[in-house]
Amino acid sequence: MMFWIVVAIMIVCATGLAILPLLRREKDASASDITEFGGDVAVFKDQLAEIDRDLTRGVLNESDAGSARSEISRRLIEASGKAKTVSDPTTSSNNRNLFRNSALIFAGLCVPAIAAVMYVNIGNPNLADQPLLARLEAQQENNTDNKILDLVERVETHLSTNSDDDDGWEVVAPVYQRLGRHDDAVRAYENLVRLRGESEDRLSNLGEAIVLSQEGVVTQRAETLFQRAFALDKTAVRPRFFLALGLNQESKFREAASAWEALLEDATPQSAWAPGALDQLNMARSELGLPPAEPDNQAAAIMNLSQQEQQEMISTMVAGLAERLEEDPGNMADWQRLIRSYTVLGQPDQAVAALKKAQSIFVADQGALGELGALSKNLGLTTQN
Amino acid sequence: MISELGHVALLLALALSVVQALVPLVGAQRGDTRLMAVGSSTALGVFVFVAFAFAALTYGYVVSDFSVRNVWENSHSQKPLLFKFTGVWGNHEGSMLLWVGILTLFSALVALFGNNLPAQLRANVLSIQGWIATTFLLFITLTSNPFERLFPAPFEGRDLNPILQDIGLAIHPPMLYLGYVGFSVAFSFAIAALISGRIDAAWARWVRPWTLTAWLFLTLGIAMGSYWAYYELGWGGWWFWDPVENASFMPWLFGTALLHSAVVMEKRNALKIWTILLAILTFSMSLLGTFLVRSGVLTSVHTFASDPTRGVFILMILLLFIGGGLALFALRAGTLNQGGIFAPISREGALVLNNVLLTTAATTVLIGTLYPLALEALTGEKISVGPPYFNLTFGSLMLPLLLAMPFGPFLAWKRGDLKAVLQRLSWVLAIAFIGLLITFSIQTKSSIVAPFGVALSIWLIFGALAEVVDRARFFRVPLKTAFARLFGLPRSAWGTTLAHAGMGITLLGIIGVSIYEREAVAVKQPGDTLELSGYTITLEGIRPNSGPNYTEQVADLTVRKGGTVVAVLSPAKRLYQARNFPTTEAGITSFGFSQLYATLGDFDENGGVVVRVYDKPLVLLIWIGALFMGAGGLVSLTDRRLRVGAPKRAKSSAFAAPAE
Repeated sequence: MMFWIVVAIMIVCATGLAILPLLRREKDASASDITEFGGDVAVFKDQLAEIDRDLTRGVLNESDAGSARSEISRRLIEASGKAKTVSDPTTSSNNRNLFRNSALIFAGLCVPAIAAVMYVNIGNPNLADQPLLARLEAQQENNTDNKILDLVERVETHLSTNSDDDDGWEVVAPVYQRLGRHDDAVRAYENLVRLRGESEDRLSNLGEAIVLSQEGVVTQRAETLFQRAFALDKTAVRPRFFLALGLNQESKFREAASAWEALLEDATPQSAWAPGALDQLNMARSELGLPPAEPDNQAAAIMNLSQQEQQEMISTMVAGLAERLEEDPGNMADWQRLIRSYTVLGQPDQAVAALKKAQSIFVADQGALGELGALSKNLGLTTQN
Repeated sequence: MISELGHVALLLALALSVVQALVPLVGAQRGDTRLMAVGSSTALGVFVFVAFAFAALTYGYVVSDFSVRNVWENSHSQKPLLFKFTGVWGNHEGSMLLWVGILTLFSALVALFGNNLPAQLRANVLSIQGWIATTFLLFITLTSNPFERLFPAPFEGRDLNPILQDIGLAIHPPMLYLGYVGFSVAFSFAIAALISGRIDAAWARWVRPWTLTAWLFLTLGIAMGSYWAYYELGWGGWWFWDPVENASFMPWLFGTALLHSAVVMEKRNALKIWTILLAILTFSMSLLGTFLVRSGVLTSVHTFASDPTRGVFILMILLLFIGGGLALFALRAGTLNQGGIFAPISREGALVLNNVLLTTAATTVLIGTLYPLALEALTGEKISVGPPYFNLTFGSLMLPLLLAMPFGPFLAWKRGDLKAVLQRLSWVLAIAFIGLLITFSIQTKSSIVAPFGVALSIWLIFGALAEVVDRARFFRVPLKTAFARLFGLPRSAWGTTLAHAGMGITLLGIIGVSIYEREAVAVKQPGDTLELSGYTITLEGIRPNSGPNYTEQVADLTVRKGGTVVAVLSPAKRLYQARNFPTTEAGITSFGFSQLYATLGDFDENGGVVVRVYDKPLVLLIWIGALFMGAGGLVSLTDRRLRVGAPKRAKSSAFAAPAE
């Protein structure tokens, strides 16, 4: 409504500007009028006065001023002669009113009509402004994802001026990964490597981000990173997984197959990567003309179960783990595994409960509390205490 | 609501400009003051509405309203606020809106301050301005509407082209447009004179300041664009004879000619018809420049042909105004009064020579710019007309122009005495000759051209100074009187001197950098050094850095001379994330008027990088000279006197000088 009121005011103003001069009284319109040759006369008179001023200023000397004066005077005489001979335009007032009225109708109709017709055709009167801020607020009310975006934005602003803050990069890197902003994730992990030095974990994170940003291709750069990570920790899974993947992509199937087999040796029931690894192994084997690998270990066995069966089996194992901890609460590694398992199973409440319990058990052990804190941070768990 | 109101305002501006184009024209034909008065009120109205539309679009940029397509295409929420503002005209639609905004601003100024113009002339001028505004507003609303909306609004914008995110380019387009569009006023005055069949005495008084204003902005705009290309594109060149540059240079050449012929017209009431033709041609070049840059015809004739909506529209605008203007000129020029007569050797004659050389030079640039396009359109063959063509043709036309330049201001109006002038300039000639000898003896590179170029620069600079020195009668009257006379000189004389000396300064810079430039390129590891022109440049290391919307790899280069550190250069390779757009940032440091200019090439596997360092002697003079020219224009513009040129009487001409 407000919109249309403003539009109406604008149209009225515009139309007014077009027609008001036509409605003015005759006197006003012609009062300050300069007739054709009268204008010339005025200019030449001004020029004569200027010559006198130039003379006093010393810009012109007497003889130059004299010749300039006589030249302009000639033009002045000519112009004033013409100005007298030119009389008023001799149009009849009837004729004149006809033109004025048609101009009035033309201007009065043309302005609103052109604007309205065009606006109706190409405008979007019902579309409100959507400034980014307003849209952010609107979404924040019903969407928690935006809290993350908001957080990311704040961290980014912070990092743009403090690009050496490693904690900031650490917070934002996995979030980028989750949001699918892989290039940003690569940049964040690069900075982590730069600021904290190389470790298996950091190199693998960076390598993984690069692979994701390249739509799954293990690039030369990623491969180098994974090799460095592997050199730092030969038992770590991720470097070996991606190096094997790279071998597959390079069609070095024989080497890939043995790499996958070696990797699968280490698979445990919790290894989320195992199914993928088995697929890749079988792909390499089929390229080599070999039959699919026998699921000869626990992990492979699990893979043959249906998803629900897998879930049940994991749940059972987790329950077993919890039970074991009831009896022997001193095992820090088991606590960590339990908390992680609950998170993987999508039971954050349970995970938090376990975390709290572990914290109360290890309340005197600063080292353990630190580990638990780091774990909960990694998993994104929050405990209200 | 605000962006939609902006849209409504834009359409109302269009509607009002139609009235502005038609009603005062009829009024002027019929001598009806009321109809003529409509021109002023509508001109003001069009300006207010266009300004409102522009403000609405700017608002969209500032609040990142990505439901406006234009904002989404050219902005980003993370973009620094300054570039949110400048991004408004960093794109096609917004820049066209700016173009029209400046056009209507000028119309409004004519309406506001044109009270001392004959009513008929003012009505005709405003009507022509209305025609131009109408066609461009139609172009904007029909083919390049900045208020097109997107629904649903995308979450993030696509960001402004990173090389445009620069303060230099933020100011460059408005300056350039003030120049282009400023010539529209001269054009409208020319057409108005042709329509009414007579040239009022007030004509030249009005056209000269407008032309000067336009020329002033165009000069600074071109210089700024050149400096921007120099430091931002990372090639280290200051002029490329690129079609986009030529597009702005052609109106400048015609505009410079117009400026000088308008002076003749105002002072001597001569060259009237020629001035009118030049006014038409100058604005035609402005339109052509707009067409070349905006139609997409430059990227390729084929992309132009595949989406011809915009291009064909501008082509029609070109035909209407250039074709219409020239046709009207052909029809009506005969009815106009030619004006005063003068001898070939006279100030007028010198200015005619200036005009002939400048317009011929502009024509060679025009041919070099359009020929490849025409050839590609006709035969599909792609050729590029490069610097050799322009340097040869343009350079050989500039040489006589520059040689003759110091003579012009010394010659008397109507009849001049070349020999007397040469006598008065003899000491300048001597200084230039000494400059030639000195350059020959100290130059580090054996060049024949350079010493003569230096001598020509000195000839221009001192020749310009000689004019004020001579007019103040130094060495002929007591020193005190001479100084008093010097400061009493009209500002227009100082304007001429500043602008002409500026040309010499620019030339000196061009000679310095084109002939004595040195360059070193090598792949360097951190710790390596590079030798250039007595400087030792060490690559200290390469570090990552991140800005608000980019990340970069910065190389730290330490410049040493004789063991002491004299400068630190930080060239960088940047990546703007939103568009995944890499740019090269040059590291530049100045020593006097010379500069060291470093850029980075590719990084290699072993942590090395291609480092390219140039030593550019006197390069800054190129733009400092342009600043002088601009300052000359400004000083002359503040001189509100009427310009009267005193003719030299036939008899007294030879003994004119010391008659006080």
